[in-house]
Amino acid sequence: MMKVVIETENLSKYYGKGKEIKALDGLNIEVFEGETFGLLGPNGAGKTTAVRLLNGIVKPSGGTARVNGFDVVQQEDDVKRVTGVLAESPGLYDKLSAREFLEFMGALYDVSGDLLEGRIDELLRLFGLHERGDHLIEGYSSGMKQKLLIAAALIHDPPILFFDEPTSTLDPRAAHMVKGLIQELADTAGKTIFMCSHLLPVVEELCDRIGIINNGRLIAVGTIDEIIAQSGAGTLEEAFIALTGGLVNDELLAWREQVALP
Amino acid sequence: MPCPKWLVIARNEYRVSTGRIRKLRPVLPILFVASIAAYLLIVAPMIVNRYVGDAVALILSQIAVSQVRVILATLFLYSIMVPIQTALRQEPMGQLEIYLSAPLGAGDVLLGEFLGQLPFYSIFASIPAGLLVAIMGSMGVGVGQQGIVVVVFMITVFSGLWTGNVIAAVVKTWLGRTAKGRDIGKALAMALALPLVVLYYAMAYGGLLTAIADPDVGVLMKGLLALCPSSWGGDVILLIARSPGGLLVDPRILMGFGGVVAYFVGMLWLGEKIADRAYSLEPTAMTATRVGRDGVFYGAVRALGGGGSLGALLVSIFKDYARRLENVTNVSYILMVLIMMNVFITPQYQVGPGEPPVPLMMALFILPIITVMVTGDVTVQGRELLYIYKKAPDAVWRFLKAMVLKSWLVVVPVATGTVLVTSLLQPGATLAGVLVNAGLMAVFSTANAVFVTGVFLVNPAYSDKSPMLFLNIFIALFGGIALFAASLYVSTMGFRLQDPVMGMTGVSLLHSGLNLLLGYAALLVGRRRLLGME
Repeated sequence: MMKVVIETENLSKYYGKGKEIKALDGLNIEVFEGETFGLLGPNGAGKTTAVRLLNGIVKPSGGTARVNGFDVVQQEDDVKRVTGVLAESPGLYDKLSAREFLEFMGALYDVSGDLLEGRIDELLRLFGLHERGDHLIEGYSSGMKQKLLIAAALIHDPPILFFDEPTSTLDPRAAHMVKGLIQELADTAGKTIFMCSHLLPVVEELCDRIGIINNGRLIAVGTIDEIIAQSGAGTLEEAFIALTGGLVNDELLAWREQVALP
Repeated sequence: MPCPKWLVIARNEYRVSTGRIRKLRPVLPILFVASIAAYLLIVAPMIVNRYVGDAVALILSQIAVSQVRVILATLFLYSIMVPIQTALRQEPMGQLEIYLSAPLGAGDVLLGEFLGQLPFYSIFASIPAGLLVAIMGSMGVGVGQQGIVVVVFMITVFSGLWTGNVIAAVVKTWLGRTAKGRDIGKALAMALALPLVVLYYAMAYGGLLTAIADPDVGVLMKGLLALCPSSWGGDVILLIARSPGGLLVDPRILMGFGGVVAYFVGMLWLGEKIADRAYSLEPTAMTATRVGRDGVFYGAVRALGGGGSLGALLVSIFKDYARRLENVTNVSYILMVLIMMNVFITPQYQVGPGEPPVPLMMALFILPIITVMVTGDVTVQGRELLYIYKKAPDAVWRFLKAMVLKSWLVVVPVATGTVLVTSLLQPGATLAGVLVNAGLMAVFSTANAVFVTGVFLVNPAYSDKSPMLFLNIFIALFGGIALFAASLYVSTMGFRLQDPVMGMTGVSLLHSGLNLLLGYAALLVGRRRLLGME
């Protein structure tokens, strides 16, 4: 039987005085060891909130969650030690070099000095940043920054990795490279990967199972084939639109015929 | 007919500038005009009435020509500097790209940006203009002549502002193309103010105005002043003031007025001509800055942080701080102000035995500004960066410790060294006295860094444009002064004693103690705020 490493029970996060904004509403999921799980949803669906809750960055309003057996509220520090996160809009110290930034991240996760130096070299080589490792991050392209951030998420060698929109801001070449890295981490390094995205091809290509979330609620979970079958659609895109209620409004496009353009 | 593009840009600039008070926008022009009218009709005459004798005497004196020229030249230089400094602090490239991708000329951008700021420039210019009109009125200068004075003055100021805008457009676009250039730009914004600070102290306390009036002194300065357009305007104003009710067709007035107008028109033409070059998005350099391995200095910083995890954290934070040039110029600026005060003001005060030394007292009130500049960035790089610490196990408290240590590393040596040097330069300084002063400053700056860090964490500002940042600066500076007053109150038993118990040393130590105590409490509150940040 496969080991469950991420488990949530009615995990919720509400904002506002009357808790009227339901960023995440009663999330129930299980993610198995070594699997790549994708949380798919439109912008503002609650994906980033789920990642933050599962990493102890924000506190839940209700429900529970365990990551690698640790409770995200009671054993927050233990949870943080076994996870690595690539945030959607990550912060970076622009005036540090890649090597210095990785050293900084290693220190945050208490990676010992002897081990850290070797691991930094290893990661810089792995991600093709070795030759630019002493350049300030401010001069890096988006793809290079993304590679560095993934390296930073790996610096303490966590068994579980969270990737929040890992390719949404990248050009096709950089996105292809990042997808390859994620695949490698899952296949070769045996990491459990929890990925959020609104890009269907990325999820289709990388994930073993997916969950579809909309307005803070999980509305479907399973393999891609299962979800397509559940919704009665022909493709994942059609299933996603059918489940999340997205419509192509033909009337909206009719303005082109009504307005005389030069 | 389509709206001119420069007008579209001007409107947009105005909207951007008034974004925070958008609800007031419909009545803003009325408020502007009403405020200026109230100032011209009520406030300016009240101010002038108190000093009218001195003002009239100055205008009618022999030295007036030189002095008015220096004052106007300073104002003219200031008018040039303001747009440059404002532009250099901004990150312009994104907005510029939007403009340049639209079908419009670069001249439209330059003119539009200038006109969009014109209402605010007008308020700035109306302050001295109002005083001028009030002085002229008290001298019997007629309304027509007053009108000429206002027009000449406004054109002079606007020429300076336009010149500043043109220079700013060239400089900011040139520097804004690379990360290093943007860094230099921000540093330059502060550095540019330094000559004006020196000029101000030289005029206010160093007798520059008197010296310049001496026919045997400052020949070169006078020659330079004569070339400055503000001097042509200044001469027109003086001529009118000295002949109330006189003819406006005096050839000297016409020449001066014509000169100012010609300069303004010429600068408008020049700005239009160089706008294309100014607003170019061609990259100047594609090189990235390479850093070396840590040397002795960063090794020492790491050791001061106790090595290990905290040491590594401290080094990273310190590098990020020290590699931003603007941080160096910010500290240099405040130090320059302190040096100017010590050069020009301190010698005017004689301190009796047992009284606090002037350099120490000045440093107590000026150096907290450096602490604010060094420490105020604790949360200013945004929530995203702080999430790194929230994500890592038990990292928020380590982050706060590293931030306090970083402040100590910059502020304590600077503050202590400054007091050491300024005390040494005092006439009759003794080694013991100098060391006591330096020691007291070391203790105070250590405690003040904790206090300021705490203040900036209780109400975190997540960007350098956040109003919270300015509120925190206010609280940190005036809160520090309030703590000093409280220390003095306690040391003099509620001001019942003439001299504080244990003298000013006691007051200073109590002041430091209060800073430390309140600062630590604020740090604890700030830690809770950061942990709860969502």
